[in-house]
Amino acid sequence: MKYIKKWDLIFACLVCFAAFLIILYKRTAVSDGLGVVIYSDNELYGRYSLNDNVTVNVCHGDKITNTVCIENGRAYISEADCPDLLCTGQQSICREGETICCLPNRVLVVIESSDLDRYDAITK
Amino acid sequence: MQSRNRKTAYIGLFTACGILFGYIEFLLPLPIGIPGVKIGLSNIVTLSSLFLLGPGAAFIVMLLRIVLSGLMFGNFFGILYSLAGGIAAYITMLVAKRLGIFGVLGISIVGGVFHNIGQLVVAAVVVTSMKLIFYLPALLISGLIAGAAVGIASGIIINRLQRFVRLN
Repeated sequence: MKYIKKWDLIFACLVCFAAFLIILYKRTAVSDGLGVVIYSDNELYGRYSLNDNVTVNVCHGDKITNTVCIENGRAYISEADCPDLLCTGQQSICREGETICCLPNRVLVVIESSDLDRYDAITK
Repeated sequence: MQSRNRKTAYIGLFTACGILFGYIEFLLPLPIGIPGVKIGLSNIVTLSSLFLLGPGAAFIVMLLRIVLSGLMFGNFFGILYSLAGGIAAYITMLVAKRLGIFGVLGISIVGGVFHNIGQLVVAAVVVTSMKLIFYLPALLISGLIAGAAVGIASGIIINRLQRFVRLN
């Protein structure tokens, strides 16, 4: 009985290749289960799914300051009453961690993932 | 009849070794923070018993080792995951050995990789989340490396013990 045969190395390469494929797949696939979180004045204003098609009006007092649109799996600010309108000019966001912010109105729109990856217990 | 007694004695010996190896591994945790990454020293025992004692005895050794060390050191879910990994590793190693195209190193790699896959599948079922596939690349590679290390050690051990333990 031999220690190493040709197929050992072939199998090892196959495993590496499979791992590589999975890493590639993770990077390119847009995962669902992402949420759009809107913060206003550093406080949580609302949490929506990226899959929804909604229009959210962010208000300060009784004035609508920003309008956030979520459609086709992307989120963006469609209207704002701030003087620079940089937020409306921003590209729509869809991946985890991306943000759009309106600094004058202190509004922040973030893509966050849902909470499924937290551990409940660790086994040995 | 005498060979049956010998077989029983050897199964006991190998099981004890398996528990010991598992305990040693428990004492020396790996610095890598990914859950489920381990060297799998006890696979040396499973693999060696597969070659030296035959498939039936090896299965008993594997089963006993997991249950006993789980009862002594672990909790229910630990036993569940270890069983999943151990059974997956055993079946794939047995198939790999029967195929005849793998050397000891290859069979060990197969065992290491599928041990981790088996554990991950059970974990995904338990927490009912497919997001765990996230861990698969790291577990595949660590299973590969651990399997290789275990395979080298097993090869040496099998080679040395072959003269004394020939109940295959």
